Amino acid sequence: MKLTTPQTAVLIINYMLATAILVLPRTAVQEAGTPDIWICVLLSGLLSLVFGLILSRLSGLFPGETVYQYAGKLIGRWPACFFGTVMVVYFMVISALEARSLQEITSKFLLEGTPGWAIVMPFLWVGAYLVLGGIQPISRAFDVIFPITGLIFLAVMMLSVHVVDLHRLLPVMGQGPLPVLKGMRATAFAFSGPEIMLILVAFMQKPKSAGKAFAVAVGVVTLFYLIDCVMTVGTFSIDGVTARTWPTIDLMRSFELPGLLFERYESLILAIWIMKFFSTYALSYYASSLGLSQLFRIPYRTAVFVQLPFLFLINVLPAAIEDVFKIWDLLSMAGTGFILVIAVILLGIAALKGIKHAQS
Amino acid sequence: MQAAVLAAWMLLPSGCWSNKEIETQSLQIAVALDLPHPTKVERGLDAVNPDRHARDYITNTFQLIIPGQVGKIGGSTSEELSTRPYRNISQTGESVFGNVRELAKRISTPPLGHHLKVIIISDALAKRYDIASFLDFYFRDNDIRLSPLILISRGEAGKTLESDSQTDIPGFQIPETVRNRFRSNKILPPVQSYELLSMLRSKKSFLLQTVVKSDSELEYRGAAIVKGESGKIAGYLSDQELEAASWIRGGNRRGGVLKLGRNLSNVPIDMEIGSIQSSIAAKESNGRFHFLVDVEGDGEIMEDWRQTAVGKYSDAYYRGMERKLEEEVKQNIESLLDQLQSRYHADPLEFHETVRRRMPRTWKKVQEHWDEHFSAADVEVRVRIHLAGHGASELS
Repeated sequence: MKLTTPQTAVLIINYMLATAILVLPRTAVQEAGTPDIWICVLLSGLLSLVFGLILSRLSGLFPGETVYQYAGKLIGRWPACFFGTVMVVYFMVISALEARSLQEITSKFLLEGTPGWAIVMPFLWVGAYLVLGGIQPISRAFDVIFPITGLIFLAVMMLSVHVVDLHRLLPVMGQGPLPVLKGMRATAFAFSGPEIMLILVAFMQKPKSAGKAFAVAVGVVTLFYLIDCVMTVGTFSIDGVTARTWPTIDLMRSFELPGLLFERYESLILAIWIMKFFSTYALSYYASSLGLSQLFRIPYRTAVFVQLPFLFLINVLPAAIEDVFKIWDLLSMAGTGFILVIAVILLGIAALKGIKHAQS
Repeated sequence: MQAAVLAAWMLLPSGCWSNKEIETQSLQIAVALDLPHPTKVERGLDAVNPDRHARDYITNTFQLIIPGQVGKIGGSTSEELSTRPYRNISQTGESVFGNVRELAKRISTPPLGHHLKVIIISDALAKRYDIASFLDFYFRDNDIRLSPLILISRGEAGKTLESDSQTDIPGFQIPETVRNRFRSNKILPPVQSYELLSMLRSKKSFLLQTVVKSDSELEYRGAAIVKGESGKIAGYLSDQELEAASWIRGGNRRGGVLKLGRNLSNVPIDMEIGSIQSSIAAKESNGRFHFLVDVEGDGEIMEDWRQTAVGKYSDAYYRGMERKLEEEVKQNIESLLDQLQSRYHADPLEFHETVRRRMPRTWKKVQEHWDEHFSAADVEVRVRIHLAGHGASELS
């Protein structure tokens, strides 16, 4: 069973959309200093699309093979092994940090008093169970998660309409285009995720439509980020948004709707959004497990279980949530940058060697 | 597999980790902040065991709902309520957070912050300290939401939470009154905690609704001007000035009354406001700002004591009334602006928003000391009023 194109799109959306949306309005305004961050989101979406298309094209040259397998054919066994290891570590850290931010938010807003390990361990175990099944069960789970999380998120966002004042988004580019470029430093992180194409394309029924799947996914993610930024800045103004650690959650903590089933919506959205954390965590866990098993020729099951303690260790390493954000920033910048550069080099070598798109 | 099921089965019946019974909690629905003034109870406690070494900065009065009691209000119609469904408790101390924690020693049911509806600040406190400083706890806490309404009390804030009635709960009723805005333009648009935070962070002056409490009644009256630079109260607006402010703010404002003043009419003539639109245009030359405030309103004559006019309604009557009403609004607005510019040196009516939106580059240069630029600005006011009706009384 291979992945259909819509399934791939859903996988990418769930992979990209997680923690960033809860902090994006703040990080972006902190960089930009103007309310223009919605422009940053659009531009970053485009940028991500370009990278995604490049990576899809590269993987499309080797149908049925992941980057761990085909990199060796292009740059030799040892360099490929090094590159693969970097990717494995990257995905491992991503999944561990995703678990950590889930734990931070849960213990702050939902389960105050529950020990961190008690929140994160079941999460790690259930993830391991899902990952053991391979890409198909993951994809099926995501097919369920995406509509639930997406619809409830949009619905609650729409409920906040009466606290939003769009005038707070004015002026548009009042300080010129420079703040927009600065803001992109933050929004670009939110779109890190094209690297997953190096793995996903191998499992697609039609590797040729990988680009299409990615374009749809980035479109959906951009829409979510756009709504989030417009609503949050429209509520808090740029002065207020930089004063909140989790502006998107605080948006829902800013209004009460008496008589409408619930008065307080932040618990609902948080409980739902945990599934999104879970999906990013699970897919990166899968990507790193696959890498371990393919690079070092160990059984897949072993690769999954071997990582579990390390995931927990990385998870408890950062002392405070600020450290999580810092590592995250570094990782997105260095990790994504490195992977993209190598991938472009790989594509160049493939072109030189004259490897053509296989007919599928 | 069986072992796993067994393990899960053993874990599940142990129940929810952070489970708390509602009966053992009390819900904090309102809080009043005052300069330190220990209550009789507190003084009594101190007299017995005077080990206080802390400097006192603030008194918190918490209004706590006792969940068991609230349920009885709806149900029991015949029985008289023997006890009030709420309890006010004051704590004086060094910090808000310290006061909240100190309560744990005095009451058995710790207050839950999730349902806080209103924060009432005494004017004396907000004159002495930056509002951002003593509300810091309320912005940081992860249980207390950003939705509570913020009010300033003229006089002791703790008193506003008291009520003579057995069934009234001030913590619920005070914030509800804001909903009457459609009937009165002397009530400011509600400022919730999240907005207050943004305004304090922006360092721009703004208005906060004030409430006054006499023996047993509480009334929304006037507003306090909070200076952006200091975050403290710099002065007050009367009800009449608040009305003028609502004309400047516009925003399709509905409801409220426009009265003709003594100098324009010697008997009461009232117009009900149908809508107010306003626009502010800004120009800058040589560092001096010039504003043009264009106000447009319509409404209906709802009361006219000059019964002589009955039967003589005409176009001329309408036009004459409109001119008079325009004159009234213009005078009120101008006297308000004069107060703001020459007495308080503050721009709480958001003239700066026009500059920020329309002249972003100029704004960057002047935003630091905006209040001064505003005080020196020329403001031209134009008012147009259109009478759209005369109630249900027939004209001729």
